[in-house]
Amino acid sequence: MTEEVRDDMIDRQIQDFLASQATEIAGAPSAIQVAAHIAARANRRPTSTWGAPSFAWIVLTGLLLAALVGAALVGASLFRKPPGGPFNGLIAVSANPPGMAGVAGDIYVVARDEAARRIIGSDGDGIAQACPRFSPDGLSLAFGEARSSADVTTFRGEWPVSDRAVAVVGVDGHGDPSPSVVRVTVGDTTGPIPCPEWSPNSEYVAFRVDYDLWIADASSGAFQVIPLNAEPGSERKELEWSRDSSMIAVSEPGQILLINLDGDTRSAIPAIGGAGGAPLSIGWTADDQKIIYISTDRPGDGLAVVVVNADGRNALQLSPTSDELQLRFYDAVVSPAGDRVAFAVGASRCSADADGNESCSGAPQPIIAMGIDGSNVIELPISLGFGRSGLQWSPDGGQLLYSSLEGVTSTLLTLGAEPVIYSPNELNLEWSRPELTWQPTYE
Amino acid sequence: MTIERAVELEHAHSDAAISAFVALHYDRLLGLARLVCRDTSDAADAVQTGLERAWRRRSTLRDEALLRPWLDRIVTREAVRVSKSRSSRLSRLFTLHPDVTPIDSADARASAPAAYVALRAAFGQLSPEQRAVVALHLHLGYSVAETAAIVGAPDDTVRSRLRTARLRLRHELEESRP
Repeated sequence: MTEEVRDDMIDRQIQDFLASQATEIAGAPSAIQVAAHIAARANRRPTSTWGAPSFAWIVLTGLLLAALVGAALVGASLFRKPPGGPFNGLIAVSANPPGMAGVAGDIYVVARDEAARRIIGSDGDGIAQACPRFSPDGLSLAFGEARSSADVTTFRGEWPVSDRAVAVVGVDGHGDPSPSVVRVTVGDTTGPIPCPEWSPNSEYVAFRVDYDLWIADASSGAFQVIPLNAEPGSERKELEWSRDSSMIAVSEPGQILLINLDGDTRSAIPAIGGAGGAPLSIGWTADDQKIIYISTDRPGDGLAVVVVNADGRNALQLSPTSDELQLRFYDAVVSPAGDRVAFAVGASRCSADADGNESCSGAPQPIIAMGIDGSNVIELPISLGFGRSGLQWSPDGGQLLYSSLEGVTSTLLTLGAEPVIYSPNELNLEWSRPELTWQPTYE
Repeated sequence: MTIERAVELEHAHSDAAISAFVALHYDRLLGLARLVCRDTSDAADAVQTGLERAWRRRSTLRDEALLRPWLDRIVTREAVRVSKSRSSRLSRLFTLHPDVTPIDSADARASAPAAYVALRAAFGQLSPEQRAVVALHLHLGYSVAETAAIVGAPDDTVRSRLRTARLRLRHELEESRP
C-alpha cells in the first residue's frame, strides 16, 4: 500500500468521524424554535429600520416559502427532534455475580430476551465496580470501583473501602467495552465508592470524594478538586450537572449548593425541611429553570418531593399527602426533556390495637410520574418489591426503569402496561442496591 | 389599511421567510458549529446568533450563489468565538485551586482507547481555529482557498493548521490500533 493510499484511508476515517460528530446534536433546539426566536427578535425592530429587500432576496424568499409549504404538507414534525434521544435497549447494571453473595460486584448489560452479560469485572478479581453511567452520547461508560485488602462484599463499598477510583471505558453499540480510557484514582484514604455523573456534553465526569467535588476530563483524566462545606452522609452520591453544563448542584445538610463553574461562584437553596437532613434525588428541569429534590417535608415528620426555582424561590411540594397512609418517597428523576418527574412511593398503613400497640402493614407502592407543575399524574402500580432501586427514565422519555428482586424491570408510561423484566432471576440484585443506566444510541 | 395592520402583515410575511431560511440551512450549520465547538449547546448558540446576524444583514449579500459560504463564514467565526470563550471558562475551572495537589490521573492499566475515542480526544485538543479548518475542508469539502476566505486567514496559515491537525489525528488513529 502506497503512502498516498494509506493517507487517503486515514482521511476517510477522519471524515467518517467528523460526519458522526456533526450529527451529535441531540438536545439542540429545533429549526422551528430557532426561527421563532429570530423572528421574535426581528419583529421587535421598528419597521422603518428594515432595508428594502433585494430582488434576489425576494426570489429566494419565494422559493423558500414554497419549500416551507411543501415541508408543512409532509409534516412539520420532520423538523422537530423528540425529547431525549434514541436508545438501543441495552442497560448496564451493577450487580453481584449470580449465586455469589459474598464477593465484589461487577457490571453487566441486559437486554430484552437476552441473557445477562458481564462486561466489567470477573469472579475473584477482588475489585468492586458500581454506579455504571453511560455517557449522554452513548460512546463511553464511567463507573466507580474499589479494591480492598479484605473482600469487598455484597454491599460493594457501602462502607469504607480503599483504592478507590473512577474509570472510563469506550463502549460500542453492543455495550462491549474498550480497555480503560482513564482511571482517576482518588487518593489513599478509605471511603465509599465514588459514583460518577457525566456532564451533558459527555466530556467530563463529576463525583464526590469525602469533603470534595471532583471534576475529571473523561478523555485525559485531568481533574480539578473543588472543596465542599461538609463531609456527606447519605447524600454522598448527590450531585447533578445543569443541562447547560455550567453548574453543578450538590446536596449538603439542609441545602442544595449550586457551584457555578464559570467563575467559582456559589449559591445555596435551603431545603424546605430545614437543616434536618440533606436533600436527595436532585434534578434540573428544562432550561435549568427549576430544581427538583426530595427532603424532609415542612412539618418535619415525613418526606416530600419538592420543585423550586433555580434562584431558590417558589418551593412547591409535588408529592401527595395522606391521612391514612404513611408515605415515603424515593428516587425522584427528571425526564430527559425536563418537563416531567417520576418517583417511587413507599406506603404503609398503621393502626393501634386496644392496648395501644401499633402495627403497620405494607400498602400499594406505585411509581408516580407527573409534570413538574404537578399536572398529568400517572400512577403506575408495581408489585411489592423488596430492594427496588435505581429508578431511571429511558433516553426517549417513554419508559421507566428500575430494579427489584425480580430483575431489571422497565415499564411504559401507560396505565395497564405490562412491565418487562430483563434477564429475570439471572442477577443477584437483592442487597446491592444496583445502579442502572440505559445506553443512548450513537449510530 | 391601518398602520398596525400593515406592520402585522409585514411581520407575518417576514416570519414565514425566516422560518424557511432557517429550515433550509439549520442542520448543516449546526453540524459545522458542533464540530468547531464540540458542544451541542454552544453550537446551537453560535448558529442562532449567526443566523440572526445573517438575516439582519441579508441585504448586503449581492450574489445569492454565495449564500452558503457566506453563512458558513458567519457561523464558523461565531462558533470559534463561542468555543474560545468556553475554553477560557474551563481553563479557569481547572486552575481555580492551586493548593490542590494533583495525583496521577491515569494509572498504568490505562491503555490505548478505541479509534473513535482516540480521535474524539485528539480532535478536542485541537484549537477552535484548527477544528474550524478541519471541519470546513475535510467535512464540508471547501478547498484550501475557500476555507481561508471563510475563516479570514491566509492560505498558508490554513495549510499549516490543516497539516498540524491532520498529523495529530492520524497519529492518534494509528496509535489506537492494537
